[in-house]
Amino acid sequence: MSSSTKFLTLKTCDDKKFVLDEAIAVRSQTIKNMVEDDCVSNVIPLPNVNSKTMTKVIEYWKKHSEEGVSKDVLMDFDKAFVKVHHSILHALILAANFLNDKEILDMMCQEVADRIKGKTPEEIRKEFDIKNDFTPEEEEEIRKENAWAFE
Amino acid sequence: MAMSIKLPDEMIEEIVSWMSVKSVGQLHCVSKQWCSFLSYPKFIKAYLNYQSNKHEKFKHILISDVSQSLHSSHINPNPQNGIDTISIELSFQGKWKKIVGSCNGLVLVLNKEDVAFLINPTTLEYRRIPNSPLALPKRGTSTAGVLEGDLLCTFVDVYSARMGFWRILESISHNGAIPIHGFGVFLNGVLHLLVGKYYCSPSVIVSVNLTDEKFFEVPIPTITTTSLLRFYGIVALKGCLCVLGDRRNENEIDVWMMKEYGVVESWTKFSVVRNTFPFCPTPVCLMSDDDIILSAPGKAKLIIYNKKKEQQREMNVDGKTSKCIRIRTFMESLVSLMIGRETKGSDYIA
Repeated sequence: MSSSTKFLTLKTCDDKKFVLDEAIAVRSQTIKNMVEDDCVSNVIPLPNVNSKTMTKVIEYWKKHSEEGVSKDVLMDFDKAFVKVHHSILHALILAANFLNDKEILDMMCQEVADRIKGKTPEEIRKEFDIKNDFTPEEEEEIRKENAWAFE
Repeated sequence: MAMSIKLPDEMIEEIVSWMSVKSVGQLHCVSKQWCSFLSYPKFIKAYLNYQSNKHEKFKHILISDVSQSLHSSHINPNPQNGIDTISIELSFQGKWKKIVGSCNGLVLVLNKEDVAFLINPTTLEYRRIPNSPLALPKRGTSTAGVLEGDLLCTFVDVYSARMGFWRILESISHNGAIPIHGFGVFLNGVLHLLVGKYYCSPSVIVSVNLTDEKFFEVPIPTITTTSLLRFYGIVALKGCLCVLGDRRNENEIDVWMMKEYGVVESWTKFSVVRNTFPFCPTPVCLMSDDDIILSAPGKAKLIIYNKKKEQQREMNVDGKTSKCIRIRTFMESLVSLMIGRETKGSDYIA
Protein backbone atom coordinates (compact mmCIF):
# COMPACT_ATOMS: atom_id res chain seq x y z
CA MET A 1 0.00 0.00 0.00
CA SER A 2 1.19 3.46 -0.78
CA SER A 3 2.34 5.39 2.22
CA SER A 4 1.61 8.74 0.65
CA THR A 5 -1.94 9.17 1.88
CA LYS A 6 -2.68 12.81 1.22
CA PHE A 7 -5.14 14.86 3.17
CA LEU A 8 -7.14 17.85 2.05
CA THR A 9 -8.68 20.49 4.21
CA LEU A 10 -12.14 21.69 3.20
CA LYS A 11 -13.56 24.90 4.61
CA THR A 12 -17.31 25.42 4.61
CA CYS A 13 -19.11 28.75 4.41
CA ASP A 14 -19.55 28.87 8.19
CA ASP A 15 -15.76 28.62 8.63
CA LYS A 16 -15.65 25.01 9.81
CA LYS A 17 -12.73 22.91 8.62
CA PHE A 18 -12.86 19.27 7.55
CA VAL A 19 -9.70 17.25 7.06
CA LEU A 20 -10.30 14.45 4.59
CA ASP A 21 -8.37 11.76 2.75
CA GLU A 22 -7.82 13.03 -0.79
CA ALA A 23 -8.89 9.67 -2.22
CA ILE A 24 -12.32 10.20 -0.65
CA ALA A 25 -12.64 13.91 -1.36
CA VAL A 26 -12.15 13.40 -5.10
CA ARG A 27 -15.59 11.77 -5.24
CA SER A 28 -16.44 15.40 -5.83
CA GLN A 29 -15.66 16.14 -9.47
CA THR A 30 -15.16 19.77 -8.53
CA ILE A 31 -12.48 18.92 -5.98
CA LYS A 32 -10.97 16.33 -8.34
CA ASN A 33 -10.56 18.96 -11.04
CA MET A 34 -8.90 21.31 -8.57
CA VAL A 35 -6.49 18.59 -7.46
CA GLU A 36 -5.68 17.60 -11.03
CA ASP A 37 -5.11 21.20 -12.06
CA ASP A 38 -2.80 21.50 -9.11
CA CYS A 39 -4.57 24.55 -7.81
CA VAL A 40 -5.04 23.18 -4.32
CA SER A 41 -3.21 25.16 -1.71
CA ASN A 42 -3.70 24.32 1.92
CA VAL A 43 -7.41 24.84 2.26
CA ILE A 44 -10.21 24.33 -0.27
CA PRO A 45 -12.99 26.81 0.36
CA LEU A 46 -16.56 25.63 -0.21
CA PRO A 47 -18.47 28.92 -0.20
CA ASN A 48 -21.82 27.31 -1.07
CA VAL A 49 -21.88 24.51 1.50
CA ASN A 50 -22.45 24.77 5.24
CA SER A 51 -20.88 22.47 7.83
CA LYS A 52 -24.09 20.63 8.63
CA THR A 53 -24.59 19.67 5.00
CA MET A 54 -20.91 18.86 4.53
CA THR A 55 -21.02 16.48 7.49
CA LYS A 56 -23.80 14.56 5.73
CA VAL A 57 -21.90 14.51 2.44
CA ILE A 58 -18.74 13.20 4.12
CA GLU A 59 -20.76 10.57 5.95
CA TYR A 60 -22.00 9.36 2.57
CA TRP A 61 -18.57 9.49 0.92
CA LYS A 62 -16.93 7.54 3.74
CA LYS A 63 -19.55 4.81 3.75
CA HIS A 64 -19.38 4.42 0.00
CA SER A 65 -15.56 4.33 0.06
CA GLU A 66 -15.33 1.59 2.68
CA GLU A 67 -14.02 -1.71 1.45
CA GLY A 68 -15.93 -4.95 1.75
CA VAL A 69 -19.35 -3.39 2.32
CA SER A 70 -22.12 -5.50 0.82
CA LYS A 71 -24.68 -4.07 -1.59
CA ASP A 72 -27.49 -4.69 0.87
CA VAL A 73 -25.73 -2.74 3.61
CA LEU A 74 -25.18 0.18 1.23
CA MET A 75 -28.80 0.10 0.17
CA ASP A 76 -29.96 0.21 3.78
CA PHE A 77 -27.53 3.03 4.42
CA ASP A 78 -28.86 5.01 1.42
CA LYS A 79 -32.44 4.44 2.52
CA ALA A 80 -31.73 5.82 5.96
CA PHE A 81 -29.56 8.60 4.53
CA VAL A 82 -32.41 10.21 2.58
CA LYS A 83 -34.82 10.11 5.53
CA VAL A 84 -34.28 13.73 6.52
CA HIS A 85 -36.27 16.93 6.58
CA HIS A 86 -36.92 18.35 3.13
CA SER A 87 -34.86 21.45 3.88
CA ILE A 88 -31.82 19.21 4.39
CA LEU A 89 -32.59 17.38 1.16
CA HIS A 90 -32.67 20.69 -0.67
CA ALA A 91 -29.39 21.75 0.91
CA LEU A 92 -27.83 18.43 -0.11
CA ILE A 93 -29.02 18.93 -3.68
CA LEU A 94 -27.34 22.31 -3.84
CA ALA A 95 -24.18 20.94 -2.25
CA ALA A 96 -24.06 17.91 -4.57
CA ASN A 97 -24.54 20.22 -7.52
CA PHE A 98 -21.73 22.51 -6.40
CA LEU A 99 -19.42 19.60 -5.58
CA ASN A 100 -20.46 17.94 -8.83
CA ASP A 101 -21.29 14.57 -7.30
CA LYS A 102 -23.82 12.99 -9.67
CA GLU A 103 -24.46 10.03 -7.39
CA ILE A 104 -25.66 12.11 -4.44
CA LEU A 105 -27.45 14.56 -6.71
CA ASP A 106 -29.47 11.82 -8.43
CA MET A 107 -30.31 10.11 -5.18
CA MET A 108 -31.54 13.32 -3.55
CA CYS A 109 -33.50 14.47 -6.59
CA GLN A 110 -35.18 11.09 -6.84
CA GLU A 111 -36.11 11.28 -3.16
CA VAL A 112 -37.61 14.76 -3.51
CA ALA A 113 -39.48 13.62 -6.64
CA ASP A 114 -40.86 10.59 -4.77
CA ARG A 115 -42.05 12.82 -1.95
CA ILE A 116 -43.80 15.26 -4.27
CA LYS A 117 -45.74 12.50 -6.05
CA GLY A 118 -49.34 12.43 -4.98
CA LYS A 119 -49.12 15.67 -3.03
CA THR A 120 -51.61 18.45 -3.63
CA PRO A 121 -50.35 21.73 -5.15
CA GLU A 122 -50.87 23.37 -1.75
CA GLU A 123 -48.65 20.80 -0.03
CA ILE A 124 -45.98 21.23 -2.69
CA ARG A 125 -46.04 25.02 -2.24
CA LYS A 126 -45.39 24.53 1.45
CA GLU A 127 -42.51 22.16 0.83
CA PHE A 128 -40.81 24.47 -1.66
CA ASP A 129 -41.77 27.70 0.09
CA ILE A 130 -43.67 28.98 -2.93
CA LYS A 131 -46.37 31.61 -2.84
CA ASN A 132 -49.58 30.80 -4.67
CA ASP A 133 -49.71 33.63 -7.20
CA PHE A 134 -52.82 32.37 -9.03
CA THR A 135 -56.14 34.11 -8.57
CA PRO A 136 -58.92 31.59 -7.78
CA GLU A 137 -60.18 32.01 -11.38
CA GLU A 138 -56.72 31.44 -12.83
CA GLU A 139 -56.21 28.41 -10.66
CA GLU A 140 -59.46 26.90 -11.82
CA GLU A 141 -58.49 27.57 -15.43
CA ILE A 142 -55.04 25.99 -15.08
CA ARG A 143 -56.58 23.05 -13.27
CA LYS A 144 -58.94 22.54 -16.20
CA GLU A 145 -56.13 22.70 -18.74
CA ASN A 146 -54.21 20.05 -16.86
CA ALA A 147 -57.19 17.90 -15.97
CA TRP A 148 -55.52 14.99 -17.84
CA ALA A 149 -52.86 14.89 -15.14
CA PHE A 150 -55.33 14.45 -12.30
CA GLU A 151 -57.29 11.55 -13.77
CA MET B 1 -33.50 25.51 12.78
CA ALA B 2 -33.43 24.64 9.12
CA MET B 3 -33.88 27.56 6.80
CA SER B 4 -35.83 26.93 3.66
CA ILE B 5 -33.78 27.30 0.53
CA LYS B 6 -34.93 28.39 -2.90
CA LEU B 7 -33.75 25.84 -5.38
CA PRO B 8 -32.67 27.24 -8.75
CA ASP B 9 -34.54 26.21 -11.91
CA GLU B 10 -31.86 23.75 -13.01
CA MET B 11 -32.29 21.84 -9.76
CA ILE B 12 -36.08 21.81 -10.11
CA GLU B 13 -35.49 20.43 -13.61
CA GLU B 14 -33.29 17.65 -12.15
CA ILE B 15 -35.97 16.75 -9.61
CA VAL B 16 -38.79 16.85 -12.13
CA SER B 17 -36.83 14.59 -14.47
CA TRP B 18 -37.48 11.76 -12.01
CA MET B 19 -41.23 12.23 -12.18
CA SER B 20 -43.85 10.78 -14.50
CA VAL B 21 -45.50 12.97 -17.13
CA LYS B 22 -48.73 13.02 -15.14
CA SER B 23 -46.99 14.18 -11.98
CA VAL B 24 -45.32 16.95 -13.97
CA GLY B 25 -48.73 17.92 -15.34
CA GLN B 26 -49.97 18.37 -11.78
CA LEU B 27 -47.03 20.66 -10.97
CA HIS B 28 -48.35 23.22 -13.46
CA CYS B 29 -50.91 24.15 -10.82
CA VAL B 30 -48.35 25.05 -8.15
CA SER B 31 -47.54 28.59 -9.26
CA LYS B 32 -47.33 30.83 -12.30
CA GLN B 33 -43.57 30.65 -12.25
CA TRP B 34 -43.52 26.85 -12.20
CA CYS B 35 -46.24 26.71 -14.81
CA SER B 36 -44.34 28.86 -17.27
CA PHE B 37 -41.04 27.16 -16.47
CA LEU B 38 -42.56 23.72 -17.12
CA SER B 39 -44.11 24.94 -20.38
CA TYR B 40 -40.89 26.26 -21.91
CA PRO B 41 -39.92 24.29 -25.01
CA LYS B 42 -36.41 24.14 -23.55
CA PHE B 43 -37.67 22.32 -20.47
CA ILE B 44 -39.98 20.03 -22.47
CA LYS B 45 -37.05 18.99 -24.64
CA ALA B 46 -34.73 18.41 -21.70
CA TYR B 47 -37.42 16.38 -19.95
CA LEU B 48 -37.94 14.31 -23.09
CA ASN B 49 -34.22 13.50 -23.16
CA TYR B 50 -34.26 12.51 -19.51
CA GLN B 51 -37.23 10.24 -20.12
CA SER B 52 -35.65 8.68 -23.19
CA ASN B 53 -32.48 7.83 -21.33
CA LYS B 54 -33.80 6.96 -17.95
CA HIS B 55 -37.23 5.56 -18.21
CA GLU B 56 -39.48 3.35 -20.19
CA LYS B 57 -39.37 4.58 -23.71
CA PHE B 58 -41.34 1.90 -25.46
CA LYS B 59 -43.75 0.93 -22.74
CA HIS B 60 -46.95 2.62 -23.77
CA ILE B 61 -49.22 1.41 -26.50
CA LEU B 62 -52.03 3.04 -28.38
CA ILE B 63 -54.73 0.72 -29.62
CA SER B 64 -57.58 1.19 -32.02
CA ASP B 65 -60.10 -1.51 -31.16
CA VAL B 66 -62.87 -3.13 -33.19
CA SER B 67 -65.14 -0.16 -32.55
CA GLN B 68 -62.27 2.03 -33.83
CA SER B 69 -61.99 4.06 -30.66
CA LEU B 70 -58.57 4.83 -29.21
CA HIS B 71 -57.22 3.32 -26.01
CA SER B 72 -53.88 3.76 -24.34
CA SER B 73 -52.22 1.41 -21.95
CA HIS B 74 -49.00 0.84 -20.11
CA ILE B 75 -47.10 -2.39 -20.61
CA ASN B 76 -46.52 -4.17 -17.34
CA PRO B 77 -43.69 -6.72 -17.35
CA ASN B 78 -45.27 -8.59 -14.43
CA PRO B 79 -48.97 -9.04 -15.15
CA GLN B 80 -51.16 -9.95 -12.22
CA ASN B 81 -54.35 -11.99 -11.95
CA GLY B 82 -54.01 -12.93 -15.60
CA ILE B 83 -54.58 -9.35 -16.76
CA ASP B 84 -51.71 -8.17 -18.94
CA THR B 85 -52.67 -4.53 -19.07
CA ILE B 86 -55.42 -2.07 -18.18
CA SER B 87 -56.42 0.32 -20.94
CA ILE B 88 -57.90 3.80 -20.80
CA GLU B 89 -60.28 4.98 -23.48
CA LEU B 90 -59.10 8.32 -24.84
CA SER B 91 -61.59 11.09 -25.36
CA PHE B 92 -60.85 11.63 -29.05
CA GLN B 93 -64.19 11.28 -30.78
CA GLY B 94 -64.45 9.64 -34.16
CA LYS B 95 -63.55 6.38 -35.83
CA TRP B 96 -59.83 5.77 -36.06
CA LYS B 97 -58.83 3.33 -38.71
CA LYS B 98 -55.07 3.79 -38.72
CA ILE B 99 -52.30 4.56 -36.27
CA VAL B 100 -49.53 5.63 -38.57
CA GLY B 101 -46.52 6.38 -36.44
CA SER B 102 -45.25 7.96 -33.29
CA CYS B 103 -42.35 10.00 -32.13
CA ASN B 104 -41.55 12.00 -29.01
CA GLY B 105 -44.96 11.28 -27.53
CA LEU B 106 -46.95 12.44 -30.53
CA VAL B 107 -48.92 9.96 -32.60
CA LEU B 108 -50.27 10.35 -36.11
CA VAL B 109 -53.70 8.80 -36.58
CA LEU B 110 -56.09 8.65 -39.53
CA ASN B 111 -59.85 8.67 -39.15
CA LYS B 112 -62.22 6.78 -41.41
CA GLU B 113 -62.33 9.69 -43.86
CA ASP B 114 -58.51 9.50 -44.11
CA VAL B 115 -58.11 12.81 -42.34
CA ALA B 116 -54.85 12.91 -40.41
CA PHE B 117 -54.61 14.08 -36.83
CA LEU B 118 -51.60 14.48 -34.66
CA ILE B 119 -52.40 13.63 -31.06
CA ASN B 120 -50.62 13.52 -27.75
CA PRO B 121 -52.30 10.56 -26.02
CA THR B 122 -50.96 11.71 -22.65
CA THR B 123 -51.97 15.36 -22.54
CA LEU B 124 -54.91 14.72 -24.91
CA GLU B 125 -53.98 17.58 -27.23
CA TYR B 126 -54.68 17.17 -30.90
CA ARG B 127 -54.28 18.92 -34.18
CA ARG B 128 -55.65 18.33 -37.63
CA ILE B 129 -53.08 17.91 -40.38
CA PRO B 130 -54.08 19.00 -43.88
CA ASN B 131 -53.43 16.58 -46.74
CA SER B 132 -50.21 17.02 -48.63
CA PRO B 133 -50.71 18.99 -51.81
CA LEU B 134 -47.39 17.72 -53.12
CA ALA B 135 -48.43 15.04 -55.50
CA LEU B 136 -45.58 12.61 -55.44
CA PRO B 137 -46.19 9.17 -56.86
CA LYS B 138 -46.83 6.89 -53.97
CA ARG B 139 -48.18 3.46 -53.62
CA GLY B 140 -50.78 2.49 -51.08
CA THR B 141 -51.16 4.74 -48.11
CA SER B 142 -50.62 8.38 -48.76
CA THR B 143 -48.96 9.06 -45.45
CA ALA B 144 -45.96 7.09 -44.39
CA GLY B 145 -45.72 9.36 -41.49
CA VAL B 146 -43.68 9.76 -38.47
CA LEU B 147 -42.88 12.98 -36.81
CA GLU B 148 -40.15 14.75 -34.99
CA GLY B 149 -41.37 17.34 -32.55
CA ASP B 150 -43.42 19.36 -34.96
CA LEU B 151 -42.38 17.57 -38.11
CA LEU B 152 -44.54 15.07 -39.85
CA CYS B 153 -43.03 13.07 -42.64
CA THR B 154 -44.35 11.21 -45.58
CA PHE B 155 -41.79 9.52 -47.76
CA VAL B 156 -40.27 12.73 -48.98
CA ASP B 157 -42.69 15.42 -47.89
CA VAL B 158 -42.41 17.14 -44.57
CA TYR B 159 -45.19 18.94 -42.83
CA SER B 160 -44.29 21.46 -40.22
CA ALA B 161 -47.08 21.74 -37.70
CA ARG B 162 -45.45 24.83 -36.29
CA MET B 163 -45.24 26.62 -39.61
CA GLY B 164 -48.40 25.05 -40.96
CA PHE B 165 -47.29 24.02 -44.45
CA TRP B 166 -45.97 21.11 -46.49
CA ARG B 167 -42.70 21.06 -48.33
CA ILE B 168 -40.53 18.58 -50.18
CA LEU B 169 -37.20 17.60 -48.74
CA GLU B 170 -34.53 19.11 -50.90
CA SER B 171 -32.22 16.15 -50.99
CA ILE B 172 -34.38 13.62 -52.79
CA SER B 173 -31.97 10.98 -53.94
CA HIS B 174 -34.18 7.94 -53.90
CA ASN B 175 -36.35 8.52 -56.88
CA GLY B 176 -38.05 5.36 -57.91
CA ALA B 177 -37.81 3.79 -54.48
CA ILE B 178 -41.12 2.50 -53.26
CA PRO B 179 -41.98 2.01 -49.60
CA ILE B 180 -42.83 -1.65 -49.09
CA HIS B 181 -44.14 -1.22 -45.64
CA GLY B 182 -46.04 2.03 -45.78
CA PHE B 183 -45.22 3.10 -42.24
CA GLY B 184 -41.89 4.45 -41.11
CA VAL B 185 -40.03 3.86 -37.90
CA PHE B 186 -38.58 6.75 -36.00
CA LEU B 187 -35.45 6.06 -34.01
CA ASN B 188 -32.48 8.15 -32.87
CA GLY B 189 -33.73 11.24 -34.67
CA VAL B 190 -33.97 9.34 -37.94
CA LEU B 191 -36.97 8.13 -39.93
CA HIS B 192 -36.48 4.68 -41.45
CA LEU B 193 -38.47 3.20 -44.30
CA LEU B 194 -38.18 -0.23 -45.80
CA VAL B 195 -38.20 0.31 -49.54
CA GLY B 196 -37.89 -1.75 -52.67
CA LYS B 197 -36.47 -0.26 -55.81
CA TYR B 198 -38.75 -0.39 -58.81
CA TYR B 199 -41.16 -2.81 -57.13
CA CYS B 200 -38.40 -5.39 -56.76
CA SER B 201 -37.40 -7.19 -53.62
CA PRO B 202 -34.97 -7.37 -51.89
CA SER B 203 -35.03 -4.10 -50.23
CA VAL B 204 -33.03 -1.38 -48.59
CA ILE B 205 -33.69 0.74 -45.55
CA VAL B 206 -33.85 4.34 -46.61
CA SER B 207 -33.37 6.75 -43.76
CA VAL B 208 -33.74 10.44 -43.43
CA ASN B 209 -32.19 12.33 -40.58
CA LEU B 210 -34.72 14.94 -39.57
CA THR B 211 -32.13 17.24 -38.10
CA ASP B 212 -30.15 17.87 -41.26
CA GLU B 213 -32.69 16.26 -43.64
CA LYS B 214 -30.03 14.11 -45.27
CA PHE B 215 -30.91 10.75 -46.80
CA PHE B 216 -28.78 7.69 -46.22
CA GLU B 217 -29.13 3.94 -46.42
CA VAL B 218 -28.92 1.42 -43.61
CA PRO B 219 -27.79 -1.95 -44.99
CA ILE B 220 -30.15 -4.84 -44.39
CA PRO B 221 -28.89 -8.15 -43.02
CA THR B 222 -27.05 -10.47 -45.35
CA ILE B 223 -29.02 -13.65 -45.71
CA THR B 224 -27.18 -16.91 -46.02
CA THR B 225 -30.04 -19.37 -45.91
CA THR B 226 -31.36 -20.90 -49.06
CA SER B 227 -35.02 -20.63 -48.19
CA LEU B 228 -37.14 -18.01 -49.86
CA LEU B 229 -37.22 -14.90 -47.78
CA ARG B 230 -39.11 -11.69 -48.21
CA PHE B 231 -38.76 -8.67 -45.97
CA TYR B 232 -42.19 -7.35 -45.17
CA GLY B 233 -41.87 -4.91 -42.33
CA ILE B 234 -39.76 -2.65 -40.20
CA VAL B 235 -40.28 -2.00 -36.48
CA ALA B 236 -38.37 -0.81 -33.42
CA LEU B 237 -38.05 -3.15 -30.46
CA LYS B 238 -36.32 -2.11 -27.24
CA GLY B 239 -34.79 0.85 -29.04
CA CYS B 240 -33.32 -1.34 -31.79
CA LEU B 241 -34.22 -1.23 -35.44
CA CYS B 242 -35.72 -4.52 -36.65
CA VAL B 243 -36.71 -5.86 -40.04
CA LEU B 244 -39.18 -8.69 -40.42
CA GLY B 245 -38.58 -11.54 -42.79
CA ASP B 246 -41.22 -13.95 -44.03
CA ARG B 247 -39.75 -17.36 -44.77
CA ARG B 248 -42.13 -18.58 -47.36
CA ASN B 249 -43.16 -22.22 -47.23
CA GLU B 250 -42.03 -22.36 -43.65
CA ASN B 251 -43.92 -21.93 -40.43
CA GLU B 252 -41.69 -19.15 -39.09
CA ILE B 253 -40.97 -15.50 -39.46
CA ASP B 254 -37.55 -14.02 -38.76
CA VAL B 255 -37.01 -10.92 -36.70
CA TRP B 256 -33.66 -9.32 -37.48
CA MET B 257 -32.52 -6.90 -34.82
CA MET B 258 -29.76 -4.35 -35.29
CA LYS B 259 -28.33 -4.52 -31.77
CA GLU B 260 -25.92 -1.67 -32.32
CA TYR B 261 -27.32 1.09 -34.42
CA GLY B 262 -25.54 1.47 -37.76
CA VAL B 263 -23.31 -1.57 -37.24
CA VAL B 264 -24.02 -4.07 -40.01
CA GLU B 265 -22.36 -6.93 -38.16
CA SER B 266 -24.74 -6.50 -35.24
CA TRP B 267 -27.84 -7.76 -37.08
CA THR B 268 -29.03 -10.74 -35.05
CA LYS B 269 -31.96 -12.97 -35.69
CA PHE B 270 -34.62 -14.72 -33.71
CA SER B 271 -37.60 -16.58 -35.07
CA VAL B 272 -41.27 -16.53 -34.23
CA VAL B 273 -43.42 -19.53 -34.96
CA ARG B 274 -46.31 -18.55 -37.17
CA ASN B 275 -48.72 -21.27 -36.22
CA THR B 276 -52.25 -20.09 -36.64
CA PHE B 277 -51.62 -16.65 -38.04
CA PRO B 278 -53.27 -16.17 -41.40
CA PHE B 279 -50.95 -13.26 -42.19
CA CYS B 280 -47.47 -12.45 -41.00
CA PRO B 281 -47.63 -11.15 -37.43
CA THR B 282 -45.92 -7.88 -36.51
CA PRO B 283 -43.96 -7.53 -33.29
CA VAL B 284 -45.12 -4.44 -31.40
CA CYS B 285 -42.93 -4.32 -28.33
CA LEU B 286 -41.19 -6.46 -25.77
CA MET B 287 -43.10 -7.09 -22.59
CA SER B 288 -40.09 -8.70 -20.93
CA ASP B 289 -36.84 -10.15 -22.26
CA ASP B 290 -38.60 -13.24 -23.59
CA ASP B 291 -42.18 -12.10 -24.10
CA ILE B 292 -43.02 -10.21 -27.28
CA ILE B 293 -46.36 -8.62 -28.03
CA LEU B 294 -47.42 -9.44 -31.58
CA SER B 295 -50.30 -8.01 -33.49
CA ALA B 296 -52.01 -10.54 -35.67
CA PRO B 297 -53.60 -8.83 -38.64
CA GLY B 298 -56.81 -10.34 -39.84
CA LYS B 299 -57.59 -11.68 -36.41
CA ALA B 300 -58.01 -8.41 -34.48
CA LYS B 301 -55.93 -9.93 -31.75
CA LEU B 302 -52.84 -9.30 -29.72
CA ILE B 303 -50.64 -12.26 -29.02
CA ILE B 304 -47.94 -12.66 -26.41
CA TYR B 305 -45.21 -14.90 -27.75
CA ASN B 306 -42.55 -16.38 -25.51
CA LYS B 307 -39.29 -16.74 -27.41
CA LYS B 308 -37.76 -19.25 -25.04
CA LYS B 309 -40.69 -21.60 -24.72
CA GLU B 310 -41.88 -20.92 -28.29
CA GLN B 311 -45.37 -20.64 -26.91
CA GLN B 312 -48.05 -18.11 -27.55
CA ARG B 313 -51.16 -16.94 -25.79
CA GLU B 314 -53.72 -14.23 -26.32
CA MET B 315 -53.08 -10.95 -24.57
CA ASN B 316 -55.55 -10.05 -21.85
CA VAL B 317 -56.56 -6.39 -21.83
CA ASP B 318 -58.91 -5.24 -19.05
CA GLY B 319 -59.80 -8.84 -18.21
CA LYS B 320 -60.83 -9.70 -21.75
CA THR B 321 -59.16 -10.99 -24.86
CA SER B 322 -57.92 -7.94 -26.69
CA LYS B 323 -59.83 -6.77 -29.73
CA CYS B 324 -57.19 -4.74 -31.41
CA ILE B 325 -57.22 -3.53 -34.99
CA ARG B 326 -54.25 -1.16 -34.96
CA ILE B 327 -51.49 -0.73 -32.47
CA ARG B 328 -48.40 1.43 -31.99
CA THR B 329 -46.02 2.17 -29.15
CA PHE B 330 -45.49 5.70 -27.94
CA MET B 331 -43.70 7.37 -25.07
CA GLU B 332 -45.39 9.72 -22.64
CA SER B 333 -44.30 13.28 -23.23
CA LEU B 334 -45.24 16.88 -22.61
CA VAL B 335 -44.58 17.86 -26.24
CA SER B 336 -47.27 20.36 -27.03
CA LEU B 337 -49.26 20.72 -30.23
CA MET B 338 -50.45 24.18 -29.45
CA ILE B 339 -49.03 27.22 -31.15
CA GLY B 340 -50.61 29.37 -28.52
CA ARG B 341 -53.30 28.85 -25.99
CA GLU B 342 -55.86 30.61 -28.15
CA THR B 343 -55.61 27.94 -30.83
CA LYS B 344 -56.65 25.21 -28.48
CA GLY B 345 -59.79 23.53 -29.61
CA SER B 346 -59.62 24.77 -33.18
CA ASP B 347 -59.71 22.12 -35.90
CA TYR B 348 -62.33 20.10 -34.10
CA ILE B 349 -62.16 16.40 -34.56
CA ALA B 350 -65.80 15.57 -34.89
